[in-house]
Amino acid sequence: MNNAAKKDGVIVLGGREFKRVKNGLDEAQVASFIDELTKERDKLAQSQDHIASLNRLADWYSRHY
Amino acid sequence: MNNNAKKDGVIVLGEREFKRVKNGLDEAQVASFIDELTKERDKLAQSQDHIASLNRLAEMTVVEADRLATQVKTEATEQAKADSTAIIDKAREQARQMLEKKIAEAVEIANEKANAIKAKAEEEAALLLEDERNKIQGELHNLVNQQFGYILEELESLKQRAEAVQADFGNKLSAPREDNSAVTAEIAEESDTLVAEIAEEIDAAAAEIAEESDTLVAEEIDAAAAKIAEEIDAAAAKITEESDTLAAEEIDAAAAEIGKESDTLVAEESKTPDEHLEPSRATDHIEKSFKLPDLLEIEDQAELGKPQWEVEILPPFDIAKIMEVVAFLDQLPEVANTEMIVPQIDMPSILVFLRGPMNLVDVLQTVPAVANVEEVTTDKAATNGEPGKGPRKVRISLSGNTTSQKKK
Repeated sequence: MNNAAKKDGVIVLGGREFKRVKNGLDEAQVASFIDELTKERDKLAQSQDHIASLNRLADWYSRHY
Repeated sequence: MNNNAKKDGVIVLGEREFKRVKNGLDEAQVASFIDELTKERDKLAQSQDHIASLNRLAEMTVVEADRLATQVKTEATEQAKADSTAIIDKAREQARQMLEKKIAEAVEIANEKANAIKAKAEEEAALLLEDERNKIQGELHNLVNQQFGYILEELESLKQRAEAVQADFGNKLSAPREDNSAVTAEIAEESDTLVAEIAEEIDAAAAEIAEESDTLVAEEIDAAAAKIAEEIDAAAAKITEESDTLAAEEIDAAAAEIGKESDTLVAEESKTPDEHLEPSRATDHIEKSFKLPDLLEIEDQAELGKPQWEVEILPPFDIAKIMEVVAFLDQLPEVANTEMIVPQIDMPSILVFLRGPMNLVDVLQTVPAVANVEEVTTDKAATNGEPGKGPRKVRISLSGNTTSQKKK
């Protein structure tokens, strides 16, 4: 999750813009956590897609056999 | 995602601690995004758990379905075995009944054929017996007449000699002594008596010879009749034996055919134990299986079809020569069968059934017992010898009867 694009007073993490404030959260920690959450989500979503593909294959098989 | 606990310079978001730094990221934005990501992850994880549960259920369902399928298959196999056993038993029972029926029919047909053959043989034997009787009677009459003639001649000669002796004796008595006439008359009377006695003895001997010849004729006729009767019995026994053999062979053939077809039927039914025979199929099979009577009828029709030739025999008749002609025709390979027709009034004839084409006129001219052969061509349509039309007619006269005629 190194897609943090830095503009003036704004940083992008996980495709979301965050403002910089005077007493804010540590950027590195936030970036690491957001990267972790995103990876988990993507992995689950990929598994979901895989199951959906298997489901479609099972439907097709039951229709033809 | 409001689980952020604030400590000194540290904030917790999504169960993770974050330090506060100078010029750091906006807490509210970070909290909102983390909350959003966490919700998405939890939702997907929940869905994943649900799918895992469904998967376990599906596996259990498959196991149960396999068990049910095995059970159904076992039950269906046992039912099919029971059905096939019942079908095979039923087919065997049907085959057994049909076999018994066919055996009865074959025996009946064989008996009918045997009776027909026996009747024909008896008829021919009766003709033969009558012919032999007439022949022997004629020969014996001739012999007796001849012997009687010889005896009469001998007796006549003896009578003449006795008369000559009597005349000579009379002359001798009358010439020297005429006075002895009384004695002469007595002697003449005695000689007449002697001649009369000799004549009586001759008549008695002739009567005895005639009686003995009649006895001899009767005895010889009886002996010939007994011999012919023995031959008829032997022929009848042989015909009966042959008919029994024929019946046994026909029964064996029918049994073998029925057994083979019943095996085929059982094998076919065994191949498809789950299917029951449709009635129409079963009937059709039975009809195909048992065509033996039809075959026998066809053979009978072929043998007893319409004759191709009719041979009329002109008088005078000689049964031995007629039988010689019949025997000659029977041994020809082209001749399937012959049948003797002896009507009460008209002339006898021989019906000839052919296996193949043959000119009977040419063949009959080679028979020694036939003196004259003449084809009767009154009906041109009938001369083809085709099925459905009348047979070709031939008239023959037997040799020794018409010596003046020549073979045409």
